[in-house]
Amino acid sequence: MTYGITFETANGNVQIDSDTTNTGLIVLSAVASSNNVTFDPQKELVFAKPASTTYTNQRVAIRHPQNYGWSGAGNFTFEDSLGNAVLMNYIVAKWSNEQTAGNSGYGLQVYNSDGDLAFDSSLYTGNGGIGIIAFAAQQTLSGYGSFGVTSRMGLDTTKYYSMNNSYANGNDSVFFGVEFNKSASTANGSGGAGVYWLSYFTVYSFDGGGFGSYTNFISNFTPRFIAEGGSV
Amino acid sequence: MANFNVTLHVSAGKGGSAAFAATNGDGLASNDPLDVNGGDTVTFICASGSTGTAKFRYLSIFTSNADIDILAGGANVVRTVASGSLLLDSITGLNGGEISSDLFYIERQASSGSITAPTASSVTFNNPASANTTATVNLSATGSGGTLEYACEVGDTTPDNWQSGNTFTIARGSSGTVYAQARRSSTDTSNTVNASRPGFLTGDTAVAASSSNIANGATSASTTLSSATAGETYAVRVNDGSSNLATRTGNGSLSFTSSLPSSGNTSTYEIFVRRPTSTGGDGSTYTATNDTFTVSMSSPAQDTTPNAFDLADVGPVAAGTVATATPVTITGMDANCPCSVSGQGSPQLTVGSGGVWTTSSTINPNNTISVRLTAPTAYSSTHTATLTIGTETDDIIVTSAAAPSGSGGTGTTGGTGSYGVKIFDTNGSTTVLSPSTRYLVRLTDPTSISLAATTGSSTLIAVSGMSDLGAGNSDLIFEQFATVDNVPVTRESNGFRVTNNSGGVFNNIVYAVRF
Repeated sequence: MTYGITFETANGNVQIDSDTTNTGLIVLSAVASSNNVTFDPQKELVFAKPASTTYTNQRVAIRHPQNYGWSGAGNFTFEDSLGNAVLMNYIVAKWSNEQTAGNSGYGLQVYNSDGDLAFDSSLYTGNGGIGIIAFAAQQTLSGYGSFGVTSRMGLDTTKYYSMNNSYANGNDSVFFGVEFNKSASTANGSGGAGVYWLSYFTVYSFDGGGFGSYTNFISNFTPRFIAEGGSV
Repeated sequence: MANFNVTLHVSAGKGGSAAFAATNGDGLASNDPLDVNGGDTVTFICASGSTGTAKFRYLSIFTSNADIDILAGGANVVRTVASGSLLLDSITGLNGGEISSDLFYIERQASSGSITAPTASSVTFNNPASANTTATVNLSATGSGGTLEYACEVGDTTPDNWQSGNTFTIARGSSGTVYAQARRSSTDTSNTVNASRPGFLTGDTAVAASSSNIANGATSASTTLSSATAGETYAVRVNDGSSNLATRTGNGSLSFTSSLPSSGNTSTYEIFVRRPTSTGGDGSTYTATNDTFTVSMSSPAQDTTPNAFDLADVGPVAAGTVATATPVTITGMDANCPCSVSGQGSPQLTVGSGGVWTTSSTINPNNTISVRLTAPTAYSSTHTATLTIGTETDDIIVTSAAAPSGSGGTGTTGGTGSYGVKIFDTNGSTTVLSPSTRYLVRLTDPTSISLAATTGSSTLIAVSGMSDLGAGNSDLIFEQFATVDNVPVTRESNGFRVTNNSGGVFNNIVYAVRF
């Protein structure tokens, strides 16, 4: 590194590194108890947790707007695997170089060697920060949900879990989402309390042998993050 | 008309002897007389070399029955048989001193027209377990007059071994025809009948042979015969084979050393049997019994001890999450080997690329194996699982990540650590960046990728300035939703490689992040 700044914490986690950082993540909004969220999946990340604290098992994924074409912002709804709306507390964070640098006259702005805005403290406008407290790398979660522990992302149901790349369509035969389980029971193969990645699709067939179906469980295609919001 | 010669051998002097010789051998016994008919002539001869006078006495069926004396070297005397009914007579021959005499039998046949020839219907055999059989000449009409006689021989289309009985001893043979006929007189003979000569009997096929297992590399095998017939010889051959591997007589053990199965294989053998001549067999031919047995040779001892192996420890990973060790290839054995995993964090293993996770399985030589287990829920702690393959073991340690940083602990408040930078939100109290934060930053711009359907097609998402890419500090984020689980991301020294094993074209937008 010949110029710029690098901040590292005591255990070596990089906070800001103008040499390698393309851009950092800035919290745009923190919303309580809403069953929908508007964001741009190409520029923003959404982290969410159930607004309710009384559920036993809550599945949730985002349902895409009708005819959404992966371009620009859309209004996504939080739904369970049966198509029921779910009230969630969520945080939307945006990559800082997708925004215009602030000009408040105080704080810290960091640019990388390409001139991209790597960090801008002035873009925080009262919604607190976002810190990553755990993660599951790509294809390390089985997709079995709370059946066993092979798909468990964390034990704390009060944390925010990334919702990008989840999928619900109101039909229980297809679901790629997060399962918040507050039951400590491990009966019937359950992994007990925790938050799990649940992803599957069921294929139905009808041929000379009669009606049949089988369910494919899919591992997490993109990494899943567990985040802490507010004052980090 | 026929002429017969009757010769008398004589020698002179006390103790001399007399003995007849007949033209065709008949006449020397009462039950085998010389058959003559009226008008036949009989020539009486003093045998050359006789030293006495040959004397023929008690003639009765000739037109002249006067005694005949022929000196040694004297001329023969010819007499004519008189006509008449059937008459068995005898002639006495004497030597010169009448010291010794002999009898000759001569039978005049009934007059022509009074004899009816018999009619033969068949020749049949019994079938004893012996070398010889008994043939019986059967008649459909017995005829009349004269003397009923039978003849039966092998290979002679006009048998002439005449006898009064209708049974004959016929030796078994591999071929030939038996002919038979009957007669009342030399001119009143039946038709000839025939039948195939009785063949040789085969051995008894009711035998049982035991199967066996032999050790790898054994040079001999054996079977034990039961229910065999005493006296018969049994041979072991390869099933439907033609060469004897070993023989024995009757029940008991048979060992053989050739045509053994190869290691790990089974061969089928068959028992053949040979009947001795004493019980009707030919004494040389083996026939199949269709009784089989097997011999199995065990496989070579196989090496099920793998070479030492080492699955790399994993971590630090997020507390309470499942961590998967990088697969390793197990070598050094030549047979399947059991494998199992135990220890902390509910460990499981998977063999090959099947994606089936379990606590125990078997692994083939040169296959891969991986282990996964749940990291401790506490920060900076370890879980240890032990993978056992055959007699070899390896410990896999998964370490949970340290607390986010500094002394902030859970990260819910601003940290108090002495490293890092703290930045407050606009309210002046909420920290948006602090030593307690593990901050998510993007390393690369979003990049569109399109991977061909060919398995293994890949692309590199290059990252500059960061060479310690690991599962604990970086990853790729795919912007667009996808339902495939076989597009793995691997880390290289200069970036992330995305490999498409899904079987279809893979398109997405991807960028790298560190945290």
